[in-house]
Amino acid sequence: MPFEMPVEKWAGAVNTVTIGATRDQGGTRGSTVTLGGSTGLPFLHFEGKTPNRPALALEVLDTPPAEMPAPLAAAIGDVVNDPVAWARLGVEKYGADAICLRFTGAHPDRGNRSPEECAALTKAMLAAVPVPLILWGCGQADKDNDLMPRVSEVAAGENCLLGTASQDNYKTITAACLADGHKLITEAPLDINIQKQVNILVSDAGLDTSRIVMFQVTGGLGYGMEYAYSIMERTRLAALGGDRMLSMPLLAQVGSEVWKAKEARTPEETAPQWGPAEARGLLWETLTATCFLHGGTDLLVLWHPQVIVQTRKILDALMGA
Amino acid sequence: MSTHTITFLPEGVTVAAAAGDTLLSAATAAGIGLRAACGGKGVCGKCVVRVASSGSAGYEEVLGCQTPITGDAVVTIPEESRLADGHALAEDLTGGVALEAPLAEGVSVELPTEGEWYRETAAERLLAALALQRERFSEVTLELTALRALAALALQRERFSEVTLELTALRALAPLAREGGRLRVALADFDGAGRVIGVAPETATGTYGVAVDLGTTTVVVGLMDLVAGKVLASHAELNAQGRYGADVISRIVYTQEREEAREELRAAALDTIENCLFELLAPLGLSREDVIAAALVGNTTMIHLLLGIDPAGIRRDPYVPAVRSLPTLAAEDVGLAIHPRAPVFVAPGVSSYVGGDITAGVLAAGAAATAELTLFVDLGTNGEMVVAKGDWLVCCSCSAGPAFEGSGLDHGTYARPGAIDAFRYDAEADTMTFHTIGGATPVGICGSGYIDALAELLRAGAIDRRGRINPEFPSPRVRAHEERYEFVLVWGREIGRDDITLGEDDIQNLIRAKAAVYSGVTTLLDSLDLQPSQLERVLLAGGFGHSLHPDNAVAIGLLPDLPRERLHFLGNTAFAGACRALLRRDARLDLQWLARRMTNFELSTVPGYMDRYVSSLFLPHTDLSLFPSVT
Repeated sequence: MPFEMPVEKWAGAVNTVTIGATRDQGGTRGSTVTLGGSTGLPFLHFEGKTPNRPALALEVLDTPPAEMPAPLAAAIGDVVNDPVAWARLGVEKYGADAICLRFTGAHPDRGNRSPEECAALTKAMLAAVPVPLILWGCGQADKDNDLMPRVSEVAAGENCLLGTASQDNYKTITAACLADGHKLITEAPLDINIQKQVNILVSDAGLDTSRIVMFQVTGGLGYGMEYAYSIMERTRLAALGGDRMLSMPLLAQVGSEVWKAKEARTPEETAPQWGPAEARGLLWETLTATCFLHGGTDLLVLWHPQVIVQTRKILDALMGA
Repeated sequence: MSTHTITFLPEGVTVAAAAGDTLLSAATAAGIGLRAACGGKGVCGKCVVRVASSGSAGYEEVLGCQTPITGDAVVTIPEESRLADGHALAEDLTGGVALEAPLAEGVSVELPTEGEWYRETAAERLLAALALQRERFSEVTLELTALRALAALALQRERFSEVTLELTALRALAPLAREGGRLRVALADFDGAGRVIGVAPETATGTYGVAVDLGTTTVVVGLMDLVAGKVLASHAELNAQGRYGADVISRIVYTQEREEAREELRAAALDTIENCLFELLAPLGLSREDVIAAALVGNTTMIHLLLGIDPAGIRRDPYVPAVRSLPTLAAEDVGLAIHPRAPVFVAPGVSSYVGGDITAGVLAAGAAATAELTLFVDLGTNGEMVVAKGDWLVCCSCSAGPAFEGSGLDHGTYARPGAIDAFRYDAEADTMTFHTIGGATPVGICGSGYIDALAELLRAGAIDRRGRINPEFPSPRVRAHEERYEFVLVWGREIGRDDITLGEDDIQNLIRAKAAVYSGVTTLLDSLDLQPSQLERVLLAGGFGHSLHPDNAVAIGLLPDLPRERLHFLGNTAFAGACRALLRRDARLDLQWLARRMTNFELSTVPGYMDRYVSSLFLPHTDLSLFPSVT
């Protein structure tokens, strides 16, 4: 008798969130990125649809770290000191779907760049690249509460993705999103309950849940990747099960976590048993990215430009293209 | 080693203390109770005292536990730092409980002085008299062993397997025997064996027993009339062990630190009970020998510490105490200053963290008596709870922490005169009305007051569901404090002291405590495949008494969202259970049965507990659909 593949029927689906606004949408983007919409578990095309391919964003730091790992520095080149040029490299040469501009230099301990400087950089970035922008704070609550409303303001109408709102600090950034028409990243410390709580708090503050993208702080390969995968899987299952407070698309910070690992950073001379440095970090990041795709991540934020290329190939295969 | 003189004000008590000792130990030596929730580790900030100095203020505020003595000093102990008398939480919940085979009773006998009995020993004559009292026998043989058995048979429906005469009784009997006539015999029940512990001329004085609730924070002692079968008076005091730590774990840790620690803790508990006994007996002119029975309930650690049993096993995996169920002991062996051979019945416990106070509470609350699915929660430091349906019971301890007893909170206090136990906030008029226990000037806020405060602030929008104060809330009551915010509940200017505030740290502390209770309840129910909605009765015991508002308890997610008529607030059920044990043999047997039937769940090992706990750290809960009536 013919075999009938048992197919799961899901009550819910992942929300659809679009970032970027084209000219007729009130912005100046050449393209938009639509996230989410899945009606089944990741890449199980026989029992669900994935209407929107997971997107790949390149992270650009407004001030590069003091010790940029050599293979990464080599891959990016001199433009590492020029965020705008760095972003253009990512888009024009490597085809990044979006740019994540992180204001690490604004952190009081790391340069303390002013909100005005950050706003100016944002304007320049918007003018330079046609893809949607993710604008990410420096990580220090008080500074971000000064800086994010400013950068949000100069980007008004462009439908950016602002990061992040956490359970201890969400009001200011939520207000900025509401005022300037952006989307919001809600952050949780790898805890599914806290993720839900932040979504409720943000929603209580007036932002519709359809404007939220979730972010669970993760670790890379060897540093908590599996736990992150479990959280992502549980989140997807909750969304498919109909939990509206966990139905938002998921974002993952891959590059910033992976390149902290010694396995990615250590030069070959110091650890010859680990093999060629060029490939190591690249593989570390690609593998982490792939794992997160299987977990159900809709937007990956990557560092090494080649990872974008490799991950795109993997995605092509997973999407059956 | 040099010694210095420390003078404590306002008492004016002086004590000699060795250089290097702390002010806290000097206060203890002077007999002054100083709050020390963390056991003297310098963490809780409750032992603040004022040392007279030449500075502008005239004094310097220091932590008593961290300040070594370096010279003579005059130290003022502020009111807030004192271990004061506890609020008398004891209510007589024994109403309607009839006396039946009590733990001890006075039996009237006629000691024959004539006929063939005259030449027999006093002891034999007494036993025969006990036997003849019922006029059950036409003839009695003179074998002492037979007499014992006959006396037992004659007495109260064959309660006792045999009756023996204690030395104390024999000593009292000897001078009375020659006279004969009517005597009063004090007869005690030692787990089914009868003991005559005293003999006295027939007088008008009654027989008395004491019920002791040995709580971690508050000790309640009640004096019971064992003839009328009711509570005559009760007295509550703060457990003096508090100076060694606010919770059972810190006290167990203390026993591991010093050789003398176990004895210190035992003495502290006995002192507290002794103080209560004095307060009860003196006004009635009763002597210690008049108290011929004691029923003692307490959590497992409290019992171990009182009896001088090493409690170390309680807090180490697999969390097994040294003993769960004790035989009835003699008072002088325990160290209680009542009749030396009086029976001390200790309610049996279930596990390391669910003790005899809970079995006694379950008995008194009638939690196991009916076919209704019942949840019993003791809302104290240890947060024990029992789910019962008829003869099937499970229990756990969720370790809520002392927040509901006011510990660890800026203005927290246990329930005592001056504690605010209720709040109402009118957001439009920005007025806060409150009620204090005893109507006295507020000295702080107790557990039920905090529950009201959280619920009111959440309703008004002054705090978000995470417990964060809204800095933009349109009221001057919201103001910056250290690096966060606080809400002024009571303006100091209205009551002649400092403002009474609620800070964000306090709120987090309270949310953690309520989350522990709620997640304990849901984990226990889930382990049994039950839903909270299936609970037909929720019985709440503890120092809240009648001042806990069910709507507010649900609004903050402390209790499941159930129809309010299913929620019942009882008082001190542990104490009520102790009273029952004094009055009735079947109560004592029921306690043994309950302790054996209750199955303990160790929450820390149940998977999913942590997850439930984190999702309960929200007002009322991360899953808002669980609380439809308040969201």
